[in-house]
This record gives sequence, structure tokens and C-alpha cells, in this order.
Amino acid sequence: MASRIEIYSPEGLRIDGRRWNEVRHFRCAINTHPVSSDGSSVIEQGNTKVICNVIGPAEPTLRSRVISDRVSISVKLVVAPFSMIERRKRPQNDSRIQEMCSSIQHMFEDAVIAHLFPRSQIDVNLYIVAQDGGVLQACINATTLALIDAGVPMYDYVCACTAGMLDREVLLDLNRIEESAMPFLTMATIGGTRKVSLLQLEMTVQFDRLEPMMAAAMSGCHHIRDLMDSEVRKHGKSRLERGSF
Amino acid sequence: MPLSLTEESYLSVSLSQRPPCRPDGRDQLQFRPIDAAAGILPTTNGSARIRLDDGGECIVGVKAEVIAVSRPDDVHVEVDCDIVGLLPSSPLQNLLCSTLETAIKNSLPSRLLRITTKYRYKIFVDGIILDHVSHPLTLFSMTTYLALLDTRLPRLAPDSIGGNDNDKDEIGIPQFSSDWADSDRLCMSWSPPLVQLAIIVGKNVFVDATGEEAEVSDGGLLTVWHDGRVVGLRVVKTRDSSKQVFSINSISNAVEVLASASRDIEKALKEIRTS
Amino acid sequence: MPTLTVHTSTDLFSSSGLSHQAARSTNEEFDGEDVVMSDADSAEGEAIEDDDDDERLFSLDNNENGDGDARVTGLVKGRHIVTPGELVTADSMWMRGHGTYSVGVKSYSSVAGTLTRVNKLLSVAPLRGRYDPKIGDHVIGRIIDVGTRSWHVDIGAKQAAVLMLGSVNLPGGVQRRKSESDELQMRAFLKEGDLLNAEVQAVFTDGAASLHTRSLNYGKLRNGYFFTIPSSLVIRSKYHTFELPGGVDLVLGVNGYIWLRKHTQQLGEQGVSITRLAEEAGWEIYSDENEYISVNTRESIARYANAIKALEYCEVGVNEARIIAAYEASKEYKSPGEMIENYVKKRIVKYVLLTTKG
Repeated sequence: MASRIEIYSPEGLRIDGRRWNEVRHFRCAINTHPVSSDGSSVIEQGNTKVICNVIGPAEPTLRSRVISDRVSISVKLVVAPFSMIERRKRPQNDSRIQEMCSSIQHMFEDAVIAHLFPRSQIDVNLYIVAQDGGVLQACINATTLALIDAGVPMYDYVCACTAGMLDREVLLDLNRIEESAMPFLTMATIGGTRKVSLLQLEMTVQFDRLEPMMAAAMSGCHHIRDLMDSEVRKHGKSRLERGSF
Repeated sequence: MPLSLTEESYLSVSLSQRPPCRPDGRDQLQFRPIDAAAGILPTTNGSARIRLDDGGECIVGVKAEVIAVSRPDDVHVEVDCDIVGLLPSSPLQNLLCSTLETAIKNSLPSRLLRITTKYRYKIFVDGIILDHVSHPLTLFSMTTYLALLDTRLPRLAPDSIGGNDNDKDEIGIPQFSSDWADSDRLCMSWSPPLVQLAIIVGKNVFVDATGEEAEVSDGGLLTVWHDGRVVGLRVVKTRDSSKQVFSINSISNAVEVLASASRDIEKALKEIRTS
Repeated sequence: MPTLTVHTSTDLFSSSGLSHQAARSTNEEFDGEDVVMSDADSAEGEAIEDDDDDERLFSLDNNENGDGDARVTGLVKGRHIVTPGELVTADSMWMRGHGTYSVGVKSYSSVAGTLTRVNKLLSVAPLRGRYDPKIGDHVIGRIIDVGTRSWHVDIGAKQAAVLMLGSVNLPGGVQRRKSESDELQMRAFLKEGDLLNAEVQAVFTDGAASLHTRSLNYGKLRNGYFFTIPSSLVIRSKYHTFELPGGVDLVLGVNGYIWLRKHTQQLGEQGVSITRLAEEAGWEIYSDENEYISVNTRESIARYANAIKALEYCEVGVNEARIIAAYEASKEYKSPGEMIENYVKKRIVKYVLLTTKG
């Protein structure tokens, strides 16, 4: 089906009218669920929407989750059955979901300053309510924002972005149709640095094309970091200003 | 979270005395304010979100699928929900899904889901309860109600409706109009059922009970409200150690209270759609 | 009165209730003057902010040109928001406190918040976060676990607090020796679910608190109603137990846990000397029975609870004066139930802020 659509026009426009190096419409908000969680966020990247709630750091609910020298993070992901065009109910133990959870968990175990909260736990609950490509990146970005809202110390923002390779063209931040038409990778960086904390590529790509993809994804990550940072500052500023009320 | 014995006795005396005094001073029939949004998810046929001020939150998406059927009078509806923090097919989840599913199936006329003689819409109602402090039944039902009000089903493409009924049947898979504006609201002539829960403490009945109020209740009663009438009721366990034995009086009292509450809720929810 | 008020929002981004409203995020008693930036300050702030963007770029390139001192002063004075990964200072003269981490001589912020400076110590106070226990805090907690010689108490912090058997008053007074039989009947004193108020006696290096109830002001709570608000809204003061008009006592835990109860003559108020008191303390301090509480008192408690929740809704710091003002303002409404509507909450808080400013 995807082959019938022109993914990348000769004029350099993609199906949704973007250029190769443009990210989709990005919207985020923090502190959206102040009553039910310690930290929360909502992220919209194109038509992908993710809600994140963070509970903790708190006393572990199970003895088995106590780690004596660091905080224990657990990630739960709920994919709404109505999140895609075709309705699909995924069981909680779906291996794909499990894998996403564990990669997010491992990444944030290193991104938060874990030794500051020994013998405590952080629960990250992610809800994918609409998906149109780039689900993993949206989950990572949402988790970062929610952890910041919860006041959990982190070395830097963790921000993620995808990049794909169509013939010889690199495309940034793919939507669902683009994802199904070309190999793509998801990358997460530690803030605005060149340190990569996650890289996932599940299709074959010629080795010499990997580097331009990674370079594009990295610049996308840095761009998203700036967008998230300005939202956090905006939120913080308004909190302080309202404090003078 | 368990209450301490003194808290429990404070609450149970407050709620069972006459007149009762709820911990937040509400009237027996008074609901807490809610925050509601409809039509929030473009990938669905209908969607809604409701939040309570105790942090409880529910998102419901309605999806329609085209299925081929042999028995034309069946109503194909499936209700499912995820309650965060509970395992799948927990008693609570089963209660929520089966109550809503039965209520919708019993009240939805099959002609509304008819496409051609061979094809029908199947309606999937999926909910996620992100957080709940009080019993999630009312929350889930209100959100479902709102999502169903928001639901639109696409019409057949104009060129596929030619001549008489026989022509239509010969077309294999129905072709739909690609214009989203060219769709019908599911609730043009039908209004969805509303399930409401009240808790019973002694001789008193309360709607929209908070978690702590439910902790001292004798039990709960749910009613299914449709088209201005109560069309079903059921006794519900509201806490682990509830007695669940009520007098006929308190049950009929609860039904009355719920009927009047359901009427108000229905009106309030319908106003959201029109505004 | 409407039975149900519906507020409509258009998308997922709207936040529930509070954050539309006035926010306060520090524990200190609020003084309007502090926050109003003078022109000079804000001008300086601007300059720093520009600087700041540059810094971030070249903190990647390992460049160095910022004057750490001026930067810190600017950030502190301008009350600028710093975010995780932001360079706070590259000067090694500063000591790094909470909310910062360092790589080499450079210090970065690890949370989103404001920079505070105490002499040479730099720390970043997060905008939000759980209760952070400090020695001497008057807190309310709930028993979550009973051990052999101690209880685990939930106080809303990052870890459960510990209450040792040796840190509580046992029936029979201070002179009484703790025996093995006490260890066997821990649940007779305090069991899972029980609420108590206590003082933070010590804070362990990992941040967990140890509590004590060795005063007759502390101990098991009864005759009342419990609820919580965010700890950041509780304004610290000398006392946290208040006798309020309407025959209600309030225990305002620094951790945001709140107990409203019928006013009772505390043991300490009966004119007996403190030492004798401690000796006379009997089993009644661990009683699970409520006294008779009148309908009026119950209604007052509901009214106070809603008054405090109104302050919480508007994210206004909570102290005795404001609670009383909100209670008085609420008398305009015949039933305390009317106070759950958001517009009523706003009106009440507006009135509170007008009357308690001076």
C-alpha cells in the first residue's frame, strides 16, 4: 500500500509536506496530572500522543524491588487498543511492549542520579493513546519530562528521535507510513551532548549509510531537547510568577 | 490504603447518622465537579476523557469495524477496559466491562449498526482507567457515555448506493465515503445507557462516593439508566469486608436516588456535546 | 445547587485543577516583596539568560569564558529557572549541594528549579518533589509495617520513616522499662493503618527519617478526620498544632498530612506538671475509641477540610491565619458542600489573600 504513495517527492517534500530535516509538530506539557502522580507529562509528536505518569521516588511496594545502593525503576506501558487505525488489543505481556519497557527502564537507570535514592522505587506509567510512528521516541521524551516534573535528579534531558534512509536520502522523525517504507533507527542522546544512550535499528542498512542517519537523528534529538527545555522553563517561570500572587 | 480504626469509626458515624455529614460536606446527591473532554483522539470514531478532582481519570475510545454477519439482529458490541495497577480480568475489570457491554447491547437498536444486508458495524468501546481512588464504575460509564455521544459512523459512498437494495448487496465490501464530515452520529435517535453507583451506609445512600467513604460502606448498588428509566440494577461489593446485606427499604431508596442522579448527569453530559 | 458541575477541556493537554492557579513552591513564609524583581535585577537577569544559552553551547565544546561568580549571582538573584544538565558554575570555589552534580570543576544542575546560595554552598531547589524530612519537623504518619522493635511509617517521603519502640511513650510512663513482652505486643500500641503525629528525630544519610513520639503532644490520633495536601504548600512555623474556632483542633503536619479533630483538653493543659504527666500516661494514649463528636463539630471539620482544600486548589501556602480566614469566608456558604465547586474555592482564596496580607 505504501508503495503507491510517493514517500519523498523529487521536489524534496514528504507526504505530510515536510522537508527531510524537519521534525513533526511537537507539543509537550508537564505537570498535567498533579493529583494522581508525582510527575506527569503529555507529549504529541505529529499524531502520536503519549501520557506519562511518574510515581516516586517512594518506599518500595515489594521487598524484591529493594536495591540497597540505588533507586529501582520500573516502566509500565499501556497501548490503547484504539491508538491505531485498526483496532488492536495487545496483551500486557506482549513481547514488543515488554522490550520497549525494558529498554526505557535501562536507559533511565543510567540517566537519573540513581545512588541518591537507595532503597526506593520509581514507577513510570506510559499510556500510548494515539500512534503514528515514533512511539518509542515519544515514550522516552515523555518519561524525561515526567521525571523532571517529579523533581528526580538527572544528569541531563534524555531526548529521542528517529531517522530513516530512503534510497540515499535521510529523513528525520518518521511517521507511520514512512516507517513502513524504509529502514529507520531510534536514537536517544543525553541532552545536547554527543553521547548516545539508546540506539535501535531493526532493519538492514548499508553500513556507509548508517552514519548520516545517526547524524540526522542526533540533530533531531538536540532540537527536541531545546523544545522540551523551553517548555520546562516556561512552566517553571509561570510557577514562580504565580507564587508572587 | 487501610484506614485506622478511629478514622473508620469517625467516617461511619458521620455517614450513618441522620442527617449524615459527608467528610467534604456534600449533599447525598451531590457530585464532585468533573473535567471532561470529548473528541480528543482523531484516530477513533469517538473519544472522551473525564477527570475527577481526586486524580481519577479515564480515557475511552470507540472504534467501529465492518463485519460480515449472518444473523442480522445481533448487536455486536465489545467493551473492554484496562485498569492501571490491576491485573487483566480482575473482578473489578470484569464488572465494569460486562455491566457496560450488557447495558449497551440491550439498548442499542441493531438497525443503527446496519450497513447493508450482509455487513454490520461492530462497535469496540475501549477504556483506560489511568488512576482511580473511588470506585471506577461511574467514571468509566460517564466517559463511555460521552465517547458514544461523540461517535460518528461513516456513510456509504454515494456512488455505491445505486438503485435498489439488491444492487447494494452485490457489492462485496461496502465502499465508504472518504469525507469524514459525511458521517452519521451514532446517537442521533439513541441515547447510550448510563451506569451509576451509589453506596449504602446504614439507612443513608450516597452518590459519587470517595474512596474513604466506600471503605466504611455496607455495600453499593448500581443502576443502569436508559431513556429516562432504570432498566437494571445490581448489588456491588464496595470493599473487601462489606456486609452486603441491605433492607428492601434502602435498596428502593438507592434506586430512587440513582434515578434522579442519572437524569442530572445525563443532562450535564449532553450539554458538553452541544457546547 | 447543581448536582454535577462539568468543566470542559478540549484536548489532552489541559491540566487538572491546580496548576491553572497560583503556584507556590517553597516552604518559607511568603513575603510578596521578595519575588518582585526590581528593574535592575531583571535587566541583569536578561543578560544572564543570553549568556546562558551561549554557555550551554560551549559547555559541549569545552570552551571557557564565563565568569562563574557573576553567573551564580545572576541566577540566584534573578530567580531564573535552571534545568537538568545546565551549567551552574565552572568555578571550583563553590560547594555543591542538593540538585547539582559536578564533572571536574564544573557544576551542573540535576533538577529543574531555582538556584539558592548559602555562603559558599550552591544548591538547586526543585520546583516540585516529595517531602524531604528535616530534624525537628512535626509530621503525621501512617503505620505501614510492624517489625520486632520498630514500626515503619509512611510520611509521604521518598522512604518510609522508622519509629523505634524506644522512641515512644509506653503506658506506665517514662520510668517504665521496656521488656521483651513489649516487643511481642507491638500491635497493641500501634498497628497497620494507625495514624500518629511525631517529630523527626534524625535523618539517615540515605534520606530516611527516624521519628519519636516522646511528648504528650505526639502519639496516636483519634476523634477526627485525615487528608493530605502537597507538603510544599505547608508553611513551616514554630507550632503545628492549632486550636481553631468552632471547637476544632488542627494538626498541620509539615509533610502535608493533616488531622482535624474535635477539640479536646490535651493532657498537658490540665494543670499537671509535665513530669508527672509522662508518668501518668496510661493505655488511653493508644485507645482506638473515639469520643462523642457532635454533628456541629463534624460539620466544622468538613468546613475546615474544604477550606484547606480550597487553598490547595489555588496552590496557596497554608498556615493558621489563612485557614481561619478561609473558614470565616466559607461561612457565606450555608453548606460546606458548596465549597467543592472550583469558583467557590477561588473566591474564598481571593478573600483570604486580601485579608491576611498585612
